[in-house]
This record gives sequence, C-alpha cells and structure tokens, in this order.
Amino acid sequence: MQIRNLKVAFRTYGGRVQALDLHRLDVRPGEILGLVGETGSGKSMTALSILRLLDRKAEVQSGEIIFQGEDLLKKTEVEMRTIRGRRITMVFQDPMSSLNPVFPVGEPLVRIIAAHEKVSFRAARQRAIDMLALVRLPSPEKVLSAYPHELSGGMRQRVMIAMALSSNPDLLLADEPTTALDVTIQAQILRLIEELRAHINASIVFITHNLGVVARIADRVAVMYAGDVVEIGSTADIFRNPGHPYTALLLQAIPRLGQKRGTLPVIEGTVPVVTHPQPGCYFYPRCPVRIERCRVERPEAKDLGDGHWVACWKQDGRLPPDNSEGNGEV
Amino acid sequence: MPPLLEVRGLKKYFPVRRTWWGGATSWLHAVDGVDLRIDAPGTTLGIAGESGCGKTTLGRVILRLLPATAGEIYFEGRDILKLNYQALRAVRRDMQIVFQDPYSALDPRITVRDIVAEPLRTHLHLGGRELDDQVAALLAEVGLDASHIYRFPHEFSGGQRQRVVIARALALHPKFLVLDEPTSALDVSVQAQILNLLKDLQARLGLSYLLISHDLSVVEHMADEVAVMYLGQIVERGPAAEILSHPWHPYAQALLSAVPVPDPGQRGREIVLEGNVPSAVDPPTGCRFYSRCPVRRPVCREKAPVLADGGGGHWVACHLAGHGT
Amino acid sequence: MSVMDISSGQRRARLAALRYDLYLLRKNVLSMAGLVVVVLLVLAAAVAPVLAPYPADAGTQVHMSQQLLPPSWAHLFGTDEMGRDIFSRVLYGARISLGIGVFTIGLALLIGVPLGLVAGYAGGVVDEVIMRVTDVFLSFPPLLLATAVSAMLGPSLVNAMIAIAIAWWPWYTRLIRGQAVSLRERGFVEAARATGVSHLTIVFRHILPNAVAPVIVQASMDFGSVILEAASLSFLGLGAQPPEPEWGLMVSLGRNFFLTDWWYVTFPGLAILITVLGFNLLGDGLREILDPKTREV
Repeated sequence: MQIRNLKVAFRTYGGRVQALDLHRLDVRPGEILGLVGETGSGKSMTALSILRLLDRKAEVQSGEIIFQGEDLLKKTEVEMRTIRGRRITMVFQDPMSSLNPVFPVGEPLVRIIAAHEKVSFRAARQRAIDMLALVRLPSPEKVLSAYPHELSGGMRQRVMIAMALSSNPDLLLADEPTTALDVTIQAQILRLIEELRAHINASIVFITHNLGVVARIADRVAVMYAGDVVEIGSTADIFRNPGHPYTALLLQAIPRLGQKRGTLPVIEGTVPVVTHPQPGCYFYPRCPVRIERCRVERPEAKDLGDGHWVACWKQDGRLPPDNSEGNGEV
Repeated sequence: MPPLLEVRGLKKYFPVRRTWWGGATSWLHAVDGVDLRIDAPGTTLGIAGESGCGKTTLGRVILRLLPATAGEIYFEGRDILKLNYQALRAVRRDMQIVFQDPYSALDPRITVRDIVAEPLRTHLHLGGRELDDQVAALLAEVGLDASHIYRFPHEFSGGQRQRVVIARALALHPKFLVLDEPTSALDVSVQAQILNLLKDLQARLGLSYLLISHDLSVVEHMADEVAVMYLGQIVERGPAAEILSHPWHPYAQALLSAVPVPDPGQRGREIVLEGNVPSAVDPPTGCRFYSRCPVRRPVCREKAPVLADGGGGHWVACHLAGHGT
Repeated sequence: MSVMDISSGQRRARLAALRYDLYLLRKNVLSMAGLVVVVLLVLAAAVAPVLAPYPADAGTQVHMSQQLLPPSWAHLFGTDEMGRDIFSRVLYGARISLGIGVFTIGLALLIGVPLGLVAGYAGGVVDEVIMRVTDVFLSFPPLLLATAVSAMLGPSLVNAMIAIAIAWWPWYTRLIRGQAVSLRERGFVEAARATGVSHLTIVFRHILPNAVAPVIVQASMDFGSVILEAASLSFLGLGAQPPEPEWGLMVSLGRNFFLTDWWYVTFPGLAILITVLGFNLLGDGLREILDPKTREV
C-alpha cells in the first residue's frame, strides 16, 4: 500500500484544522509497520482515512491511497464495503466498545466467516472456533457463546484479533490495540501477534504512542508529527540512529528502566494544532537544531540509506552530542 | 521523630452483592492488609501494580477520601482515621493529591484562578489582591504564565492542565502529595516535563510523594522506595534500585520483564504470565498469585505467604523467596 | 494585578463564553425559531395592555350585542359568547400562561433540585429514601395526580399550579441526582474534598453548576408541557375560573361552539400549540449548546 500527499482537514467551530498532510507512507507486504506519534499527530486519522471511515466533519482534500494498485479514495461506498472488514481489517483500542454487548462475541465472528467464505453457519462456526483457538483462547467453544462483559480485556482483544484475521485480510490496521491493557496482558498480546505472523500473510500497521511497544513488535517504524511522517526506517535504525531531532528527543524523554537520570531531557512546548498550514517545518518552534531554512521551507524526505527516510533540512538532523547524554548510560 | 506517614494493616473492602435489606454478601478486597511507611521527608514511595491491584484505592483511603475498613494511618504520628471533621480539615492542608486525568480533575465551569484559589479561600480566607498574588506565584511555580489566570480548563492542553492540578495541590504548602498516575494520560514529550517539574518541586520544597503508577519506568525514575502490589496486597517492597534490578517475587519479575523497552535489541526477554488477574472479590486463602505463578508449589495454594524482610530492607511475600527463578 | 483587572478579566472570559453560546444558537434555524416564538410571547405578555384593542374584555366586561362575531378587522380573532374580543383575551392569556410556566417550573425546581443534589451527593440511606419518595410520585400519571391534588385544594389557578408542581418535581430530582452521582466521582470534587472544602460549598460551587445543564434543557421543554397541563386542568374546570382569559379555559368554553363558531376554540388552541412548540424547539437548541460534546472546539 502506498499513500501519497494525503491531506485531510477537519471542520470545527474554531475553523479548519489540518489533521493530515501526509506526503509519503508505504506499507510493504507482510511487514509490521509501527506508526508512532503523540496525540493529534494524525496516526489514527491515517488508519481511518485508509478505511474511509472518517466522520462527516473531516474532509479528504487531496492525495491518493493506493492499495493493491487501486486508489481507495476513488472507490464508491459500495466498493469500499467489499474491502473493509475483508481485505483491510481493523482492531481498535477499546474492544469493549467495538463489541456489541447484547450479542455473544462469536456472533459477528461466525457471520463474517459465513459471509466471507460463503459457507454454512455450521461450517463457519467450526472455523470460528479454530480462529479463537488460533489466538490462544482457552476453551474456544465457550468463548464463542460468551457475552463481551464476561470476558477480560485481554480476552476481548484476542477475540477482536481473531475477528480481524478471520477474513484472511491483506492489511490489518491495529489502532493502539494494547494501550487499554495491563503490561502483563500487553506482553501476552504482543507475543501472540508475533506468533501469528507465521500463519497470516497480512501486513500489519501497528499504531501506538508507546515507543517500547513499537521496538518490541515492528519491523519498520514511521514517526508522525503534526499530520506528516517525519521519519521512517527499520526499527533498529530508528531506535539506534534516529535521524530526526523529534525522534531523537522523544527517545530521550522517556524514562527507561535501568537508566536512572536526574532530569529528563524535554521537548519544550506542546504538539501543535495546525489551523493555518505553514510553509516551514511543523517542528520548527520546538526544535533545538533549527536553522532559518526550516521556518520558511517544508523539509523534503531524504534517504539516508537502507530505506531510512528523514524529513529534516539539517544534514541528518542529529542532535549535538551534549544533548544526547544519558541515552546509553546505565 | 515519627515517620511522616505510616500505614498499618490497612484494609478497604467494597460491598459487591447486597441482600435486599442492604447487607453485603460478598466483598471486593481492594486493599487487603497493607503496611507501608515513608520515613524521611523529601522522598518518594512508588506503588507499582496493574489495574485492579488496589493501588488507586490505597491512595484514596490514605487521604480519607474513602473510609477505611480496618487499619491505622499515622501522619506525623497521629492516626488520621481517628480524627474528627475539624482536625481532619487541618491535616488536609498537609496532604494533597494529583490525579491521573487532568481533564476531569478541573471544574470546567470556573477559571484557573478560582480553581487554584479554592484551597487558599477555604483555609486562609484570603481575598482580593493577596489572593491574586498567591495564585500568580503558584502558577509561576509550576511553569504557567500569569496571563493564563482567567482561562477556563478547556483552553489548556493536557500537560498544562496537569500543571494547574499541581498548582492547586501546592497551594497550602503541603508536606505530602499522593500522585495518582500523574502522567499516564499525557503524551510522552509532555510526560517528561511533568516528571521533571515534580522532581524539581520535591527538591525545592521538600515534598514527600506517594507515587501510584502502572508504569515501572516512571516509578523507577521517581521513587526512592518501591512497593509492588498484586490483588490488594504488597508482594514486595524495598529500595527502588534494588527492587527494580533484582526483584524476588515472581510477579514482580514478570511485571518488570513485561515493560516494553524502547530498544529493539531487548526483544523477547519478557516472562509471559498465563491467564488474567483473578477477581478481588472473595480472593483465595493461599497466595493470591498462585493461579498465574510460573513457579508455584503446592504450599502456595494452602498458605498465604507473609511479607518478610529478606535482608537490606528488601521485603518479599513469597514462600520461594531467595530460591525462586 | 489589580482588582479592576481581575473583574474585567473574569467578565471578558464570561462574555466570550456567552458570545459562543449565541453563535451556536444562531447556527440552528429551528431553535432560533423557538427563541423567536418565546421572545414574541414574552413581548406580547409585556405589552398586552397597549396591544390589545379591548383591554377590558380580558376581565368581566361583556358586550351582549357582539356575541360570537367572526374574525374581522375590528375583532381579529372574532368574539366569544359574551361578545368579548378573543384577540385581546389571547394576548392577556399569554401573561397567564407565562406566569403558570414560571411559577410552576420554579416551584418544581425549588423542590426537585435540592433534593436531587442531596440524594446524589450524599448517597446511601438519604439517597434511598429520597428516590423511593420520587418513585411514589412518579407512579401516578402526572395529569391524574395533578387533577387529584387540584380537586383536593379546590379549583383555582394557583391551586392548579401547585398541583402541577407537586406532580412535576420528581423528574428534576431524578435528573439532577444522576448528574450529581457521576460528578461526585470526578477529580475536581475529590480534590475539593481533599482540600477540606465543606460539603455545602462543594454541592453549590462544583456540583450544581455542572449538573444544571440538562435540567435547564428539561425545564425549558417542560414550560410548554406545564402550560398545556394547566390548560388541561382549566379545561376540566379545575384550574382557572371564568372569566379569566386562560387559553385552556377558553378552549374548554369554546368547544360548545366548535361546529358553528370555529374561531372561538381555534385561536386559543393555536396559541397553546405555538407556545408549546416554541419552548420545545428552544429546549432542543439549548441541549445542543449545553452539551459538552458540541462545545469542544
């Protein structure tokens, strides 16, 4: 899948807000792409744009989303319905609100399978049980007829994953799938996703604000800021050798186990809300290594090698060494 | 001198099912026999644990925002559970709370000035210019501009709101703050700002913190002592550096290992526990971690382990302590 | 910063908020229509003596020579069986109807809101007792209850209003209790408690202002219903007594002439319809304004 120059704006009472101004994002077949960013960076908006599930206040202004050679933005609503939930599926942060409380959790699962594979409900039921077993749910027959409130958060999220995989999709969008879960449950789910990779051939876009989770699960990482991807590269490159000052600062600002530091380096200010698109770099006001050019001209993404792209005017955007102390110290 | 805060045998049960005349038939053991203490002023005790372990309830009970079921809470040597309304009001000047969600922690209908002024009005009966000077000073203390004084909470970002919450908590110059997940609703880049602010305030004002958090990295960054909670009980406590580098309790080990570290080189080191946290309603008599414990023994089901000093102030509640994994 | 700055700063903040409210109201055509109706009604009530061609007709005046005249330029809405100008009577009726609304809703709020606040904030036994009392009141159909109370107190407009308020307050109690219960758990209430702020201050400073929005919406919608209910009681002979120009009473008296003199029931009936509709539309608009979800910018 490829996204090019995608612009999405929101109409609010305060005026128009530029939610997305995404220049370039590619998802490779079979990979797990971690999409990280803070609140308002546009990471969830990207997923909703792909599925064309933006609400009425949002408007796609331009761009294209090429999925298997076809532009999703040119599809009719009817065509989208054959893609949504089949070729592209989604797992949300809060499984409780995405499951209908008055139906057993197996009900939608069986229906999806029956519709997708055009088999009888009996056969679909068996497949559904297999799917629940695949996501390591104990006694899948029982889970199939359980109501959402009877399951724990972790189990519900497993059901959601089973549902998302049941149509054998080509792309799975996971929007903060572990954020609402406890750490030990999150560890279970992350391990599950890792184990499932062998069984499925879908690409996974894993959206999260948690850099630790991304480091744990992703093959490649895209860092979003103010509606655009500012850096993309292999997980190792992003974490070991960040090219954008925002990525580097973000990595330094998290407290890490086993690295007690007196004060944490901070990124001054807050994530901007873009009401008036500016010519320069959106990180300019908070950037410690900014130059004059950053204010007036939007940086283009440059390849630093091995598919590591950085959108920064500074040669490679690295921070001066005095700012990166504490990064490797124990 | 008595310790700043000492909690002994604290219990908080919530009624779950009631008979029709109002008697409870089963109880949720949210906090079930907790002992802890903060000795020196200016230090931080971190309470780590997952949702439902009772850490938030513990903070509320210590501030008497919830009535305790049993136990004693000594603040500077006085059992605050025995205080009457007037005496409690006086103690409340010294104990304050910072909430997890800065969105619900601020009354949306009053300005920041009135929010921060409320404690000053209540206890010092300040008004007019004196009040405004104090409010401006407090806002400056937490890094907010005095020009923000007439704004309403919705005009602020999450980080700024949390600063307002902190300013309100500091208004009466308390000695002790309960920090209930102070950064978990905030973005990563803002979290660092707030953590730095809290540390800075602690150093300057000699504040003691009870830091409640599910995020072990935050606990490690902030705390001098750590207590790990599971199902209403403390399973391990001691100096932060010690607990978070060499945990003894199998739950603490699993919890620590499950924290995702932003370093792709550390993949797959986590101990994945089976199953889910059991319900705290009518918990089992043996070790509460029994059902998920990777190293359980028959004795663990029958007898509940007690928290015992394993040397060097490192306390652990496990039958296998010392010869565990 | 001087005291002057403070009050003006506060005022500026409030003004900005108010302007925003009006902006939201303006955006919604229907609620604007509701507002216009209500404003017109208030105006009509205020200037009735000036506007009404025959002010005395609202009282005991009779003109036996002008019985049941159809609408004309002299009598826009025609005349009734006593020869009174219906237009003048409808205008004066607006005063009565508004009075009924204000008095009845006010009384119901006065009983209902404090009880709801106490029930929701205190919880426990207090809550249980108050809520069971509201259950008892709510188990009667409101009109039946009002009729019974009205019959007990004796037929008069004031008694009808008291009767309606007695049937009405439990709704407000329920509504505000639900709000108070959820607000009690909010951080700012806990923070106030942790600071040692008194319960009374918490209830009136933090809970009430945040809980009142849906009550305002409900009350504005109820305005219409209450006027309708008072009209019903008058229609049944339990409310306003002749010759008061109360709309419901006029409809009641006019129904005998419905087949021959259509204007007699039609105009007071229309007045009731438009008034109820106006308050409902306004209430809908207010709901949108006061809903925090539409407020977030």
